[in-house]
Amino acid sequence: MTDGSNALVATVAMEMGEVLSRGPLAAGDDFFLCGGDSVLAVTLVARLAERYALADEEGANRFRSALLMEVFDDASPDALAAVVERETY
Amino acid sequence: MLWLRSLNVKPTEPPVVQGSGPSGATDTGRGRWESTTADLAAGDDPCYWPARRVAAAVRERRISAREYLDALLTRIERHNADLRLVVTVDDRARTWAWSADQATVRREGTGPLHGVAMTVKDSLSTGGLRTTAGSADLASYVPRADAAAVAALRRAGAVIFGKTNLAELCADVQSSNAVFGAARNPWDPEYTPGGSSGGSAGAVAAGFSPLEFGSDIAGSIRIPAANCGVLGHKPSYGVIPMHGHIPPYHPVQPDIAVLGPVGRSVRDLELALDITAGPSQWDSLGWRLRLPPPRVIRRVAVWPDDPYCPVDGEVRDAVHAAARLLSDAGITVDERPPPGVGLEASHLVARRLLAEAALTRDSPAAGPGGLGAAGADGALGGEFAAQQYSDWVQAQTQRARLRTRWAKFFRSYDAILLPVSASLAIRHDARPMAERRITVNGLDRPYWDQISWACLTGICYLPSTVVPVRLDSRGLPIGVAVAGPYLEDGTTLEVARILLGMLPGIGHPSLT
Repeated sequence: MTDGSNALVATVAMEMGEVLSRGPLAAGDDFFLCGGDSVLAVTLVARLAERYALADEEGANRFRSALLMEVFDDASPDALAAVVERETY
Repeated sequence: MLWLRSLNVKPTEPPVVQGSGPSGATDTGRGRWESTTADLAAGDDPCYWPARRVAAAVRERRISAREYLDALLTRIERHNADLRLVVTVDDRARTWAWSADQATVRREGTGPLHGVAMTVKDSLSTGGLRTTAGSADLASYVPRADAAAVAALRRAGAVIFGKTNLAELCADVQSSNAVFGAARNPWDPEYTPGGSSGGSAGAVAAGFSPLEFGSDIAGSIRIPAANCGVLGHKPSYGVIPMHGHIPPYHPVQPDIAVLGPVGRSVRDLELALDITAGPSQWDSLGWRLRLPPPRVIRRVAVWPDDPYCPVDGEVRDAVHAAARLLSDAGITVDERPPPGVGLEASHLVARRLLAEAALTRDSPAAGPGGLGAAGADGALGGEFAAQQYSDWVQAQTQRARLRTRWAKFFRSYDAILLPVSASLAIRHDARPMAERRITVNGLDRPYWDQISWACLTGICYLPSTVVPVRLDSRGLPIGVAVAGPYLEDGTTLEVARILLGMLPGIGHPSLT
């Protein structure tokens, strides 16, 4: 990973920790195994969508959907940061 | 010996059962035998031969199935009364052994275990032979049919001649019950062989049986194998049909629980797995099982300790010693737990999922609304027996997430070395469950800390092979667990083979 994506992972990990009212998650931690549930997962998706907001509406919707599916598939900072990188850069 | 003479065995052949008869008395002192690759110190006493070696000797008529059975029975006669490892002997076994010898003469005995006498845990149904599961309710129960695994072993030619002691309904990490009393560790009878398959591992360690079948839901194969200094394999979930195992009482496929072999050679474990693995009676019409070959072992992780469940320093050192051996063998070894898989999170999931085991082992006689043994204070799985369904579903979902983390981890690693249990083998503890405690590194810890490390991999259905590494400061064995990816049982067995090839061997217990 580049330094840029490491910073991105750290930011996503911090956001995830804040939703769970705790410190940042480790890069491979699973949100749901750290106390998250589906309601908090939706909150997390909203926060990430806002932080990395896209200007065009279609892109923003696609980004939000990608985050939502990924958070249930692989709820780690690593995986969610990869979605941010893929959909917003 | 009459049988051998009648077959004109060459006089240069050594008398095969010498040393195991009442007059021949050559006890196997510790460290007397030299270890051979992937065998636990076989030596010249047939009672310590691996099953495959016995099968080869029977096939080549160097020993008869009857002589071998008699050698084991003689040894059991001499040493079992004090140890209470074998609890039932089948009077029909001599006839079966005789038939096996007749078949050998006719060149008909082609099964891989043809003529090999062995015992199985008393929770496995044996047609026509008492099967109690350690429960007073079943003290006189005689099943009409064999468990699927027992039937498979018999089809492979094994002479199932007895049953071994266990925890009542398999629900303890010791092996004591109201029917037979407490099984004792052959290395030191003041200590438990572990449980619930304590009779299985103890019998293999004591030279009473070359190979055994036990069952495991929270360490019941692994902990006894470690405590008794033998090999044990907890297969991937679902690989060996559970049909005919008690518990459960109902025809359900119990979650997490598996059957698996205990033995003194990796090849015996592989053979036993091969013989018994396959689709269950529900699936056999359409499903076929083909386990993948072992990986080439390149990278192994090690997770020797965790603040959530502190591991005894001697156990931790044994895990590190095993890791160093793999490193010496040219394998990359990293000390790191799988990302996202916490011991604490895993154990909370395990405690909720184990409620099923508590409820399905419970006696139908417990009465309406009564949880019986399951609800009793401190019983295995009893803690969350009355949880809400939504809590169970959440645990089930989290288990699926943990399995995903493990699967991802095993894309980078071939296996992981773990403690079998947080503690060394413990002394017999017959207090009520809720009052039991253990000591780890001089500190008082919960009794069920003994299963935390076993549940870590068990609830995620992962295969795990236990390898004896050394004796502890009290002279009892310490084993380490080699866990691996789901359905890649061959890989954990392969790592076990590498380790055994490098370890000096711990020998056998001196029986008195």
